[in-house]
Amino acid sequence: MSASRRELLAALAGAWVFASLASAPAVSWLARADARSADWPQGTFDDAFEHLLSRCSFGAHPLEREVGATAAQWIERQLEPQSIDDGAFERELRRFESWSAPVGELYEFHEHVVRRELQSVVLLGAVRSERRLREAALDLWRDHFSLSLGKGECAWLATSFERDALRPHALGKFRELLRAVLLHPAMLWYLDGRLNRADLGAPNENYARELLELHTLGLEGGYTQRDVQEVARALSGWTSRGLGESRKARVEFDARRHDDGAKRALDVELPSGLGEDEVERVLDLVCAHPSTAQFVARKLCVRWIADEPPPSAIERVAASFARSGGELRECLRVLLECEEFRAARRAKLKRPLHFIASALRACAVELRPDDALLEHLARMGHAPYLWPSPDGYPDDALHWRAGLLGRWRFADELAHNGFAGAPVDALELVRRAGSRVRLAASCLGREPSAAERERIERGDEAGALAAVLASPGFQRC
Amino acid sequence: MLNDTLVTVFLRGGADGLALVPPVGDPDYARVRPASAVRADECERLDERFSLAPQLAALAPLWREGRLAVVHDAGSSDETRSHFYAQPLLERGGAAGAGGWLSRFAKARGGGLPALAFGAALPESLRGGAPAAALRTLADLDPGPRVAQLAEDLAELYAADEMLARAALDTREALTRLRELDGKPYRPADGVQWGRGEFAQQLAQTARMLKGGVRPPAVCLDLFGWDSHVAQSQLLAPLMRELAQGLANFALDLGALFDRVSVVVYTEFGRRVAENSALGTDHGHGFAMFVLGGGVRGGAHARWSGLASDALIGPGDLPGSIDFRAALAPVVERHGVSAREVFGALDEPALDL
Repeated sequence: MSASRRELLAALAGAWVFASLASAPAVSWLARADARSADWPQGTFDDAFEHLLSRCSFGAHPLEREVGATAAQWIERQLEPQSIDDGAFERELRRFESWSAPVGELYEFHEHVVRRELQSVVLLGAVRSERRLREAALDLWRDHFSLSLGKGECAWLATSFERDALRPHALGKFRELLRAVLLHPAMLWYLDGRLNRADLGAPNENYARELLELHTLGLEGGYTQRDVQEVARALSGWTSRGLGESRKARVEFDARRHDDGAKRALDVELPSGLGEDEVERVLDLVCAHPSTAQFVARKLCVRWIADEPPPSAIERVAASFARSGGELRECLRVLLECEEFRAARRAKLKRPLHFIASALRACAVELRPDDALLEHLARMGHAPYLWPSPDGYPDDALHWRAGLLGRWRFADELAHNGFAGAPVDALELVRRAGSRVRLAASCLGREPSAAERERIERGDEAGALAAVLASPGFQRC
Repeated sequence: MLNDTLVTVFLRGGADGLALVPPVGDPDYARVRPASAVRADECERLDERFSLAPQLAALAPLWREGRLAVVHDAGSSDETRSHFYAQPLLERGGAAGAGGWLSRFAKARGGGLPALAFGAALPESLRGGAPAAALRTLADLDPGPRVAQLAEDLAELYAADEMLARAALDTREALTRLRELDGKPYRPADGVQWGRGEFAQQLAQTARMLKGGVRPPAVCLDLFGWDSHVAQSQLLAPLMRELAQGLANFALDLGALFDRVSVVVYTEFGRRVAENSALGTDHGHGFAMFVLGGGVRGGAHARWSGLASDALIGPGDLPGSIDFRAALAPVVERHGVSAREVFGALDEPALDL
């Protein structure tokens, strides 16, 4: 079928919408035999569906629109990540040897190898995993529970942190997520929890402070310096075995290092003698605190609604957090279905990982993450697990908009097939899309404006693709 | 007025502080360094304790003008004496740091341009949250005519985007200045003869860029080859000349603009006080640093406790009596960046340099 004829048919189809085709099929669109060559679906765009793909899933893959889910169906399906077959992505993960190594064996890899493989997994997941919403949630938790490969033995342990602490709980219960983080050797290293012992004088408060300030109640969550000290006492004794020891990376409770006296934290008495179980009491305490519901709700709304989210949305999500006992699925459902979310279309600036992943998805790239791609991410200041402080990479456009040159270079290089790990044939993409304008529309998830069309029609296909990916419209989500 | 650009020179391999800044006034110096000790009359004397290595003579004019600060026996928390541990430790700004200290600095400094590093990949010091770019030559920094055209072609679309209009305009301006530099023959200031070596060329390009109005928050340079286990004197002599000549040319070429930059020279660790049997020195601890540029108060800063064995630590190393970050702290402050933001709280006060 010629491009012009396809365009004509698409135009005639008028109000026909991709997303109302049929109920969601179980078959993976990425695993389709003809995924590399199939023509892309034609039609008009369902704004609500495109908004979800753009904001909460690192951008749309053109063939994804053929799945024919409505926004509501997509949300339901994505909220149950276990029900989504992710075999193709998981098979690709096998190329990263360290990814499947048990935590204690990660030390056998060179630091640079584990780092590169972990960062590759992060990029690959953002592009290839079909558990779209979980990948987006993971990206949020990586910042909420930020750790940096530079500290102590984190370089080796972060792989297990991502795989064993964050992934299983990213859309689960907040308490379980927090527990997995708190007792993970990477976090025990990063915030010095492993050095928090009561038998050598005052306990180390570093983790207790960040637990309250960054992970749960928030800076204005109503806790005191005294609460920090009491929580630090309650968590004393947890440690992890280091590089030079047997059973490396094993997390242990050492009763001799634990302060087993009575405490009072966040207005609750913790009796003496709780020992190893005291950590569970602390988890209950901080997770049930109303400030935690507010703080986590705000985080979710900042990431998925706006840099300054409307208080009404935060209230609604916080109420859901409190009602469900921190069931993240419920919080997200409320968030994604609220009017404030729908009204925030294209209001946010993609962060560099989001920008790169969405460009790779828009070009239907067969991704093999390599150093060149990771280097671009590092140059844009967004290398996974390298933010220097425990507050995580920022969300706000003010921080990220300084990096436009890096985005333009990436768009130009990608469109001109400059990455061995991400081959792109602009001519072929125009053919599959039907025309340059259809390709632009597919990248943007909407019809291009007159000014955008004018730019796209000039020069060669690769230049036109670069222009779309480098345009301000593509920087927003 | 605040300084514009912070230039760091990392002496890779562990540069010997006793070679760079020989303690000719120390009674034990000649004894501990029988093969390599220099005579006091060969050198520019800094004070009663220290002199500049004869091969660093090119720096003597800057010293006499009070524009060179020398820090002796700087140290980090490194106890491994391993290059692969100590280099990233220094580049992250110490044990508590995560991500590069220059990246934290550049993030706080802001501006339309990325921080820059000469080399194939970003050094650890620039990995973190700030935009950064690695380049081999200025030409690498120029993204080429295609991206420049792309930026022009998209100018109108960006101008209409409320969120990104300003950032796009700044970026296009920086791009234009960068492209103006590229391709034009460069005439350094009178009297400056840039060498052909890689380090000299990188400094020359940095000077050219700064003079062309391109002022990134930070520029990282590496000078390799300081791991002097064998025949140290022969190995280090050309390196020291390269370092000193390069820095002296940099100051001369920049002229008045030199007062708007800071230059910091550091390394991952110093070397064993005693020479080994191969007339070299092994990995040690305390090291020497140089700080130059706008606002620097020249002088030698040291908490020198001598070279007698009871003043040394571990296998016989300088104790590293000044936290290297205490020497960097006043430098970052001169760029309007809080040292606390970059290095956190330090146990000792910032040096007055």
